[in-house]
Amino acid sequence: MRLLKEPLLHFVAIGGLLFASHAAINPGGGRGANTAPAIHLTAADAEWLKEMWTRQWRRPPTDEELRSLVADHLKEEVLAREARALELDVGDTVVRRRLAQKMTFLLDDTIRTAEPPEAELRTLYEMRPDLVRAAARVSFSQVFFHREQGDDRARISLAALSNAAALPIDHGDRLLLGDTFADQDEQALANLFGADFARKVMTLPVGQWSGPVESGYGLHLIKVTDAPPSRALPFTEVRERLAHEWRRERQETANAQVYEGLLRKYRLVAGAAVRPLLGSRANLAEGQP
Amino acid sequence: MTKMLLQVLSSASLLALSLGMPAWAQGVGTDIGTLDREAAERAFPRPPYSPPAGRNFPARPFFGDTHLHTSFSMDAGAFGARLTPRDGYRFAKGEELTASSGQRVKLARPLDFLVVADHSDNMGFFPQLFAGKPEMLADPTGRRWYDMIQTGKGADAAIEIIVSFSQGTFPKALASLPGSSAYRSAWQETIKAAEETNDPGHFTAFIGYEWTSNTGGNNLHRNVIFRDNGMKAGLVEPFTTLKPLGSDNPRDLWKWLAAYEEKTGGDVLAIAHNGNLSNGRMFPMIESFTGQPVDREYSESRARWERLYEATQIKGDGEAHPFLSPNDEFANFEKWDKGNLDLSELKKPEMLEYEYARSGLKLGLKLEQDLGTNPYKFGMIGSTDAHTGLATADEDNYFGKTSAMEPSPERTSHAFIKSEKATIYDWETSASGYAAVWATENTREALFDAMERRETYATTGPRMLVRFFGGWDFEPADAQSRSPAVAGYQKGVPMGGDLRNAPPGRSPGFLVAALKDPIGANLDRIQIVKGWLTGDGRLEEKVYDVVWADADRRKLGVDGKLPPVGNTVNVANAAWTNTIGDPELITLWRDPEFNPAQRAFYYARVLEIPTPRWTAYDAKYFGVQMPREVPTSIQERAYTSPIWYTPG
Repeated sequence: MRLLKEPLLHFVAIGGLLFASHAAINPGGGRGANTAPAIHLTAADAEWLKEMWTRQWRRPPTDEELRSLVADHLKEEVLAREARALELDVGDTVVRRRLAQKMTFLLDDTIRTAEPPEAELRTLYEMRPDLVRAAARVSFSQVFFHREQGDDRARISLAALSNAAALPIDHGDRLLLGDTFADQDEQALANLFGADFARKVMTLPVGQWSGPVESGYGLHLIKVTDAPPSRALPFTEVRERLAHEWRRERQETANAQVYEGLLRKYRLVAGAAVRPLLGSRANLAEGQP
Repeated sequence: MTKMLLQVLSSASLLALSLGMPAWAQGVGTDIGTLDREAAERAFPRPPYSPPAGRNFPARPFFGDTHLHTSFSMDAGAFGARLTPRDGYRFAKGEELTASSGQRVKLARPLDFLVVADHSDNMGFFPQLFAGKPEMLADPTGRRWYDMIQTGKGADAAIEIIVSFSQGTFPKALASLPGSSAYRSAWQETIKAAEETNDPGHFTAFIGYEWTSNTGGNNLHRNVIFRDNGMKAGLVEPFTTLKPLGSDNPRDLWKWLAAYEEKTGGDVLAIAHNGNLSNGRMFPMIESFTGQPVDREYSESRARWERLYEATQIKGDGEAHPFLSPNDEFANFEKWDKGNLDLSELKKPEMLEYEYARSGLKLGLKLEQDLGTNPYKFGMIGSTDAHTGLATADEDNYFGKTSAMEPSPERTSHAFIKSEKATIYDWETSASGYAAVWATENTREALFDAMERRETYATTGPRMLVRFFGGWDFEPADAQSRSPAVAGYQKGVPMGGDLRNAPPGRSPGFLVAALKDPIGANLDRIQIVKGWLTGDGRLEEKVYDVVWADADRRKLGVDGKLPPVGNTVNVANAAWTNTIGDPELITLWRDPEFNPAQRAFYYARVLEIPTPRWTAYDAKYFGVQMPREVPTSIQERAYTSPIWYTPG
């Protein structure tokens, strides 16, 4: 980056730039015109610039805008060529990463795998409960008690609530989160009340008041009203997810293979200090004198 | 080849557009017929016995980050970010990952939603090779590659194709056949990542990007968020700032947003951030691009597209500044006021008015009086702006602004930005923030709609629950009931809403409540911040302490100030206790100085008790000594969207 701030470099670059533009604009005249590198601007280029503009602005450029696009394109081309000639792209981390990223995309897409065979999806369905099972859920009512003297009050209310005629609203304190929760899984409860509370609630019996259970807020009496257990979703429902996972796995393997293939195109020469850092590739590397 | 592929893409866009239109048009203009009394009673039966049944107001806030960068942002990549958008979404969903620095990392709790918002400039076009279209199969080489790919020899095909590219022997027929190849951008990859991780009901992965207008180092950045899926978002390339295709003027971004909606029937919004680094340009009265006063068109467009503002994030808190709010003892918070984003220009005090959220809200009242529309009628959210692919805003789990800032013994002593004029150190970055959204369910549509109605609040990291309602008919009992939100929605408007038609002699009441983060610190107090425009055109503000913890031992002083809540932070152990503060605060507050003739806004600020700042966790973990100027404790907070009062 410091290099970019060098005035001398600016001078050289601007000089070269002026020369190149001059040659491009006056192809027929001037000394060395025949040997000057050409910048070709075709109807297709203009079409492409229009297309780019239209995609960005959702309308075609006006004539004036198009003229400015062409001027800009030309300038960018000249500067880019000059920059390459000066090897400004060499050692530029951003350029290097960008190129590597482009290559990765290219590989990813090329390797895009075929439709997964049904049988393999069925196998995945059996092997990967994490993709197939819906979490256990719970619906419940709660009565909340502030921590101060909460223990005693909760125990008294627990006894009172065993009477079916007792109303929960006559007991405990307000909690802003509310008193009834429908169809929550453990993660959702953990986010609302904390992980310990969520774990505990998932194990409570259905149809009766239990507790007190402690949360980050205080103490809770809980009556679970419904607790559908974890279940495997039907194959058709998770087919897409499984296909996705199948492709992801295949793609990972294929990417690794391609990388290995590309790596083989090179001789790897590594200094003694670097060799240990290469791990299993160390034996591929030649030593550096 | 580039050109041809673009043509292919755009004709595909047209096709998708024409297919998409009818479905979108269906929801509009439905004829519902005549509603007679009997039908109305069937449609609106008496409320069920069970109070929560049939309620469809939001029961809980959803927490997320609307502003996360990954390696697809060129600056993030340059700082060593290796994680992709897909990684970012997976991490937010609660998965454990290896960070770019090689350390294992996981959130204490998953987020409910995430927007990967990589910079649109240089997100660029990346070539892709595609497979399987009839035209391609007609070419012998294409056919052979296709077969190789289909039979699992994609890797070999890839090498052949790459070689043919590099040697210039790629079949021309393939390159020029419509539909045979497509260009894909990092944008398409971003969309794919969101589509794959979006899980309605459990986790929302929004499609989005950041438009990074930064001319002269003055931050006018906006994040663009799509309500739509990839079918629509994929029809466009993100708007950039580089001329001539892009523009650094927000007016052009708004035109792009309008064009997107018009052409696709989609729905987008934009969220600005870091006015603190704009050097007086974020909430202008005079537009920096033209030198002209903000006009009606600017006001209407901004009000339409920018309904939220990101008021807190890693690069400093943007709610209020002590210079502007000298009577607000909490305004001096995680402050970044040395200069603009690259510190090429130092801050001058007269810039501050146009940079901070509270001040912007005030200026909006004045502009509304003059122009008829309030351009700065925004709600509040927080987000991280992390460039690591990791949406971490917890003080004890902070992975920094960039991958180079991931936890290490040295990170607090590094310079984050250094110019000849000033330096901002890494320790000044803030482990903040998140967006809380009161939506009816965790889906793109519900969250987006809640954002558009500004039913949101900003937090600096903790997930406290905050309710805020304004209305004319609240009674003290509403703050005592078991479900204050029922009264809130029935008798008032929630945060982000409007109050009009003041009944004679009545002051607006505000029902405000907060519940601490279930695994976090107790609360210190709730404040209501009021801003208003006086009859003679002055902009005023006042902060009221409306309810506070430990009320038995804390009373308002004669100066009207509340004594501090105390501080239990043990810096050496990076620990604190909930022995002070309260887990829950609620009250009904009426404006004692209400003037029905004056425009005003009200928002709530909730303060936690002091807890260790991320620098204290670093000092303890790495056994390092922090320089004396480094703060080691922090009072985390939340800012709600305002409720506006408009006379007449």
